[in-house]
Amino acid sequence: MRKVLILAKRELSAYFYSPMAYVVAAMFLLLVGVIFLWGVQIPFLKIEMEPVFRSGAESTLRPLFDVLAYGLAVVVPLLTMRLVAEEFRSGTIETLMTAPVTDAAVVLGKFIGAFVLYLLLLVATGVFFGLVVVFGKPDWGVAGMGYLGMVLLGAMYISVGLFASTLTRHQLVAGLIGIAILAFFTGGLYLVVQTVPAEYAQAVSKLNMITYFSDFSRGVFDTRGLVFFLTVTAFFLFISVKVLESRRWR
Amino acid sequence: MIDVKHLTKYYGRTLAVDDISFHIDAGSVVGFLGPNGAGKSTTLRILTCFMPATSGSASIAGYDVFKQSLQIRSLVGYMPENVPLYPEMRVREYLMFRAALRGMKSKQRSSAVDKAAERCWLVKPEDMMHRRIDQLSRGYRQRVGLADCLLHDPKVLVLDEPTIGLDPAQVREMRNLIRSLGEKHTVILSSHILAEVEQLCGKLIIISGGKIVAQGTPDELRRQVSGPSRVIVELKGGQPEQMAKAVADVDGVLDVQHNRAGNWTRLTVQGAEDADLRQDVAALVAAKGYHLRELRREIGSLEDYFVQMTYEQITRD
Amino acid sequence: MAIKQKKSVSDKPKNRDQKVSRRTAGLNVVISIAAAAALLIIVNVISNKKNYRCDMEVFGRYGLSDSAEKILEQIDQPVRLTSIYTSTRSDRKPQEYLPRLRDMMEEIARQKDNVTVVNVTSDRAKAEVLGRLRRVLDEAASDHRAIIRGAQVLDGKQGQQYDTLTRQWAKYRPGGWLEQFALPKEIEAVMRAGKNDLREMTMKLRQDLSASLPDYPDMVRRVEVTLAELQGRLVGVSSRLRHLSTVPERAKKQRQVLTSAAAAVKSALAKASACIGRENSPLPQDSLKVLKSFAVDIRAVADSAQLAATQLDRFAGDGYVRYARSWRHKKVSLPRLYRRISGDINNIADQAEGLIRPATKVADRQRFITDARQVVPQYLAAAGRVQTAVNTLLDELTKLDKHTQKIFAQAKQDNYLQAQIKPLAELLEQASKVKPLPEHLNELIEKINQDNIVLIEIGDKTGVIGFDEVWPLKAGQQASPGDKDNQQDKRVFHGDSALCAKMLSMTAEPFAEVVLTFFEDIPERSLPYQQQRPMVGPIPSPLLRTVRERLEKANLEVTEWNLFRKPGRAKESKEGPPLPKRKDCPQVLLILPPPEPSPMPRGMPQQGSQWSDAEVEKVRKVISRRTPAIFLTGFLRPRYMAGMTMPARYGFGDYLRKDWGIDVRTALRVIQTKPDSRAPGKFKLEVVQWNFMPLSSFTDHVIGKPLQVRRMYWYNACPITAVSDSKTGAIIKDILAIPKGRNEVWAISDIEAFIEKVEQRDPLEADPDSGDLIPPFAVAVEATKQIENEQARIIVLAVGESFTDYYLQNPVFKLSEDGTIAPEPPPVADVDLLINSVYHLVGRDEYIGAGPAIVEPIKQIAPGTMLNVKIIFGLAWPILMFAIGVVVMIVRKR
Repeated sequence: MRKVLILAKRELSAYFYSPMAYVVAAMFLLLVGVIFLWGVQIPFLKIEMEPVFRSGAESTLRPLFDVLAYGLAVVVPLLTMRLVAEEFRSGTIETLMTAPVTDAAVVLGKFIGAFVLYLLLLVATGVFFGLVVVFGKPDWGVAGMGYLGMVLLGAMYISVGLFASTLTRHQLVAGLIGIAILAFFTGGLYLVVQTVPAEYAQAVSKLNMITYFSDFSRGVFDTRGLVFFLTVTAFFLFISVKVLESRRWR
Repeated sequence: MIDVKHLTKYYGRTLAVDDISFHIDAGSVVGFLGPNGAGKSTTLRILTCFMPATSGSASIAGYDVFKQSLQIRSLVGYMPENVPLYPEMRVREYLMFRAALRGMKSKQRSSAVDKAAERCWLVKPEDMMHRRIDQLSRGYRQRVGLADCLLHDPKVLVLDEPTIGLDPAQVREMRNLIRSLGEKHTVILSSHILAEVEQLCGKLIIISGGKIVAQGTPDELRRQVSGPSRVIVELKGGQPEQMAKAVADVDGVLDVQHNRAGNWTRLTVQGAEDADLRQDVAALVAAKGYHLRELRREIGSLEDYFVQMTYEQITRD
Repeated sequence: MAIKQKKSVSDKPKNRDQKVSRRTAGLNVVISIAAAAALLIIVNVISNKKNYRCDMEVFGRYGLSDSAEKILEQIDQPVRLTSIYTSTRSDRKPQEYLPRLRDMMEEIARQKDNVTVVNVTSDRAKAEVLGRLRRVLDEAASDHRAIIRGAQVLDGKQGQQYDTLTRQWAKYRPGGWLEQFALPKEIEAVMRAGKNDLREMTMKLRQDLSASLPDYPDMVRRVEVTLAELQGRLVGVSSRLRHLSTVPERAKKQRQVLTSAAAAVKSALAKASACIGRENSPLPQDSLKVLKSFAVDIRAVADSAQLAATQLDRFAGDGYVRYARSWRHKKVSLPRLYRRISGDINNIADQAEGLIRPATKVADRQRFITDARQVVPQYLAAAGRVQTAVNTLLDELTKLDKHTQKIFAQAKQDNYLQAQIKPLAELLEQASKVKPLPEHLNELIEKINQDNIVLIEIGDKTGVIGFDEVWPLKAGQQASPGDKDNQQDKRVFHGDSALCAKMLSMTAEPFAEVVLTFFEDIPERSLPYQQQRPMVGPIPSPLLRTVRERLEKANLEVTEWNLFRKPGRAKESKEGPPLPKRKDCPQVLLILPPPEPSPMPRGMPQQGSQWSDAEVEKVRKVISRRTPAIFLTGFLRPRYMAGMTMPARYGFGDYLRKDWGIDVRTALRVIQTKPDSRAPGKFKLEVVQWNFMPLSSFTDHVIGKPLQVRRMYWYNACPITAVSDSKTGAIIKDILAIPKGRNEVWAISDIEAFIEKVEQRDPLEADPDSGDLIPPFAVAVEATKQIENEQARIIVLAVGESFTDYYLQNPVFKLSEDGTIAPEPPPVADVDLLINSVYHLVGRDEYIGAGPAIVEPIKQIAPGTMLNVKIIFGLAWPILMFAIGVVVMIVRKR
């Protein structure tokens, strides 16, 4: 476990020592800021969303979270794509894997590193919540559940992104795979649900990550969501370890 | 110390290491010699537990490479080819990270890093410890890689092409360093340059096409190389055929080949093992009245042998 | 040391080894991943079944609201909730709309042990549920079914009879007695139609009975209509025949009279004719004398013709004789002919009498005689023809054939067609006694065939909640028709309050009776030609159907109290509101603005036909006896008379002012403008806001608090202010108020001047005039007061016509950002203000806000502040992140 933390720390420092983290963070905050303060208006795509923060609006971050649940499906893979792919590309995987650490420790360390960065990003969105607190009277239960949902959702997204990163040595490819998987399990399944017969639709919609998140975002704690997020996260970490292993004997 | 038996490794359908076996004693410097793509790196990667073999077994200090990989990893120091490092880190940060990764307590860590850095000339003559790794020259990177291997004072050091890409001065320094390391550690290094290995190593293992084609001390190998002696003569003053025939008649000569070298004729005279035919040939030349330009005995070099062995291996395949 | 050269073993077997080991390794990985995936699925399936759910939201919006829990607490009967979401419509897919509802239903089931939840998603399961409901319905509708069965039996029995009758009448002997009335064909048609109508009815009944839940009341209604129509026709035939059966005898009896009357005409004419002599015979010498006797004779003719006409008429009476073929001679009826003759003859008599005087010239008399000699014989001939016609008529009427005789034998005893009529009458009698179905079953029938419904069964009651109630359209998101890409309407979940409110109204006694109190004289519908205009106030009670419906859904009952009493029917006027239907059920008056007394009353001004203080006094009495009241009022349009503008007078204005210290400024109209973004301090009038004023600045008053961010629109609202130095002792609390400093809202005093002024400006710039009222003022207030140790309470809602059906059933038009005007769903949320007011007045505050609860809104943010916020948090904050990155990079670059 100590080694996991050491690896996580290095991973985190790698984020902070490379421009990537700052670019993504700035982009992320800009995205959040735009949704929060300006709203989204894309007439072309028929997307229309009023600013979350406006006079007379409910004082809650919920609409923001609901949009971010989709937005993060793009942002998180960008953060995680380098995790393993870059090690393979630069060859550092060789020194890393010949050090006395297990594959699981490596995967877990990288996961935690990325997760802490993600948490920091979430903390950075706290200023927006602060605005809501100052100008309105938010429901703390909803806000808390929303943030809990964001944390769990993020963990799951990161595990998926990490898994994608173990599949290839090309960062960009890893990023695209991650986005594709997440896009499928968020928005894509909505399309599937609409095409499959009703008796399967029920089961299919259970696969949708957003289904569980929306419970949290509206302030309901449900063990179903908790279990779903945690088990899916664990599952993707597990298969990441397996893929990492198999990449060595292949 | 290191025992390898019937090790085989396939990359997909390509055979990289083909059933090799060897043994290395503790405290020796062993050179892995072979042309590029011979399977040196693969073997070393298997030994350092980076990848499993397809079949066969290997053990280091009694630990099985496949089953006890963590123990092996903690007693082996491995410097991969091209020395991959995290570019965004500073040297000291990197070494501290590696030390921590090797499970050192934070107290030991600093001193271990200092010690290793000093041995690898990272502190003196110039302090490179706070440089970013991506700003280091190739030589320094190599030293950082080496320092990384030495952090935990490993019993076995595995260095994959440690001198590649270094300038001559750096090569010499590196060799000295490795030599000094050989006193305390078991060192396995790979190279495709014979001369380097010949100087450094107590034992050579020559690999080609995934197979061991020869192994032994340099002297043993050299002896195998020399074989029957040859004398090279360059003459003028007669028909080449005549001259060849004349030489061939000298006692102890087994075979003569001739070819032209400008106006001169070059004869390659094969004698029996250990025989020195130079005197007899010189006497003959004097007797016949030929003009003599060169007369020398040729002894087989390890280089020849290396080339020969690896060539044979390749042609045989 | 020898070179150890390993001989390479042949490649083949090794390759296989290698493959095997790779395969096993690969298989291991695959198996372990599959196992992990299986574990993942199992764990999630279990967690889906046994989950713990807890709503962290303060309002518990996504769990159950407090009011929902309170409602559930009250229910002690077992409840079954069945969602029937089987729609195949693309815009109400069950997979999209069911999960949320199911969660909520399960939440209810968790909360309450005696609630069972059933989800029906397949058509088969739906059919089962419907089968069960059908049994319930069939049992409740046994009366109806008896009628329907009776109707079917009737068709079976009588179908044949009508056939026979049709055939009988078709075969009616040509030239038979009845033919002179053209009756056989007509009766045949009646019989044929009777059969067809019955068959059609039973076919339709059979078809309706095959529906999952037949609309029994409607079927009975249709049976009644069909049978009544048929009965009417049969009775018509029967009574006609009965009447006709008396004709031959009467004809026989009257024959003497009639023929002699006809003969009298003729003989009188003959006498008169003889008197003046024949044509061409020499003119009489004493023309005066001849004329004298002629005049007498000819007058007798006229009288006898008149008598004949009268006697014929008397004979025919108002019966069917008049329809007899020979009643007419050359298309003119016989009495008429006689009257004509009588009239003409009277003329001649007049002329003759005129010439009788000695002063007349002889030549004139002689000319007259000459003429008369020509004319009178013509009348004689005519009289002869008519006499023949009369005889023919009498012949035909008396000459009864045997077949008809038989029919008449029955008809005389009132028996003809009685076999058919009697069962009809009996069934109709039975149908009129059918008890109406309970209201909830009617609702069931009405709604069961909708898509996506929720069925609530409590005890023997059933309730149905439609799709739109659970998923109402979201404000501002209604898909515009024709927009194919965005056909899907956006809907919001409202199931919690919809279900719980329904369960409440199914289980609980009504909280209160809302007594609609008004002063209206609406002429009855049965007199459409009556040119009387209805007398109603600006908010007529018939236009409050939506409000009534909503009140009933909110577990309130609605009754009426019309303060108007019809002149002369003073007894009907009541001194107080109608007694509550249930004992101890509290009442709340909902008082509509009365019509203004007309300055020029039509007809005779009568006591009570005009609004007067007497009515105010009645209301005052009720209110002071602890019955709370809600006054609905608003801006009242001024009257224009003779070029003068007269401000309208609010009937209760004085009362509210004097008794409560509340000044309802009905002459002013509240308007809302928008601050002009280009010119600070100036305001622009948005045309759509004229009719749809989005004002929801509710105070924290318990009524308004849950409505603070609801989308509500008001129309013709007027301001309410407190009377200064009022000594009424009333405590007034604002509910909907415009605080001081909200410059974009004010109340205008002169609409015409205002509009004129605004129209001249571009872009519709508006500002308050000197006579206008600027905030603070209220639009809705509550007042309490002690009257003789009793607390009297009233609420005044001056939101104008915002509760009328016109307003609540039509779309709201909203100006969108791009300047187009888009329709939005109707502002039905407005009614919540009224419902909450009633709840509050009857002490049911805990049920207020059973609708979706609201998180506190974000405060009004000044544009400047907002700009700063945007710059700091929208731009500076990400840039700061970026800058930190740049700094770190520079520091690290060494």
